[in-house]
Amino acid sequence: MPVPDDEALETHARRMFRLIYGIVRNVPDAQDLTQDSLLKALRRKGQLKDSRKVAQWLNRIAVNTALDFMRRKGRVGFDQLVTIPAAKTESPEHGAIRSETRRWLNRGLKRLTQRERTALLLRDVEQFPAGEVAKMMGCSPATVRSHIANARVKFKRYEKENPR
Amino acid sequence: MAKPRHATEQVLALHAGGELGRWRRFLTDRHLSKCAACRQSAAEYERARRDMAALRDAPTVDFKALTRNVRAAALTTSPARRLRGRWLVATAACVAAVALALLFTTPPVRSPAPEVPSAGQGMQAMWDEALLGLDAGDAQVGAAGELSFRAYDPASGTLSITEYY
Repeated sequence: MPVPDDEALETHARRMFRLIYGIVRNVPDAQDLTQDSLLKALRRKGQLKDSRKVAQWLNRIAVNTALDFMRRKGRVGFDQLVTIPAAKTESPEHGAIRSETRRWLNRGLKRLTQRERTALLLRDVEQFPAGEVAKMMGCSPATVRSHIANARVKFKRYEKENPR
Repeated sequence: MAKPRHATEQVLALHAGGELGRWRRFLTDRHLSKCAACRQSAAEYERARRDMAALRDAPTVDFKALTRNVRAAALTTSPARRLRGRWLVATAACVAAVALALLFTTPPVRSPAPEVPSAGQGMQAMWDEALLGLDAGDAQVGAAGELSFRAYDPASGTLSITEYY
């Protein structure tokens, strides 16, 4: 992998940060882990065989780094106070609804196991194909489908018990 | 008429995301066209999936600073690598200390106990290393209870036999 220029590196960093944040749900941790993942990638750039797949390779490093961190840490430290900047055209009411929806979704995600949550976020939030999610998580496509199905079933149950 | 078999929750959950195989999907679609209860459940899964889109917004951080830090760190030895180096040195020092401690605290190896083969109706013990101040020799207990020692001193070439009754 040739060392990317500043702009490309920033694009990768944004994408990796989103992925990692999706798993750890905590801004300072996500920031540190993004930095670690990019450093790992730069140091192991010789391992990348196909330079056209750099984004996939980086995504895998990011997801693995985040999952390793979560294994060590043991549980999700959801950021309750994080504020996500509203779009310029968004009204304050709409912004409040959006924040409330996010809090409600985060509460539901807490009911899932770490692997179920990761599979669901990568598939339904980041919209990766199930096969790609399996590669990122280092498991078989059948296992990922099982995680996704279980996660959706649990989440639906949460929605029924805790309507918005 | 047999009751239609409902689709399982897992199948409906995968149907919502399009993760079912072609044949399974065909069967599920056919069932959904006839079963209102499963259709409603499938719609709930699809709505839950759409709700997830709200999590797409991630907070922003200073990505310029982040990439600058990464570049700077890539040029120097990483703290993790430095830490690993320190750990290696510390581990090697510990191993050396333990080895030295073992060397000085382990008691010296003693001579093996003399071999005691049976000698007729009595007992005989032989040794070929220094024992009881004698270099080599044997001890014998006869059937009548007599005890005799024979010792050979290689320096002087003396063979001494001592007997007790």
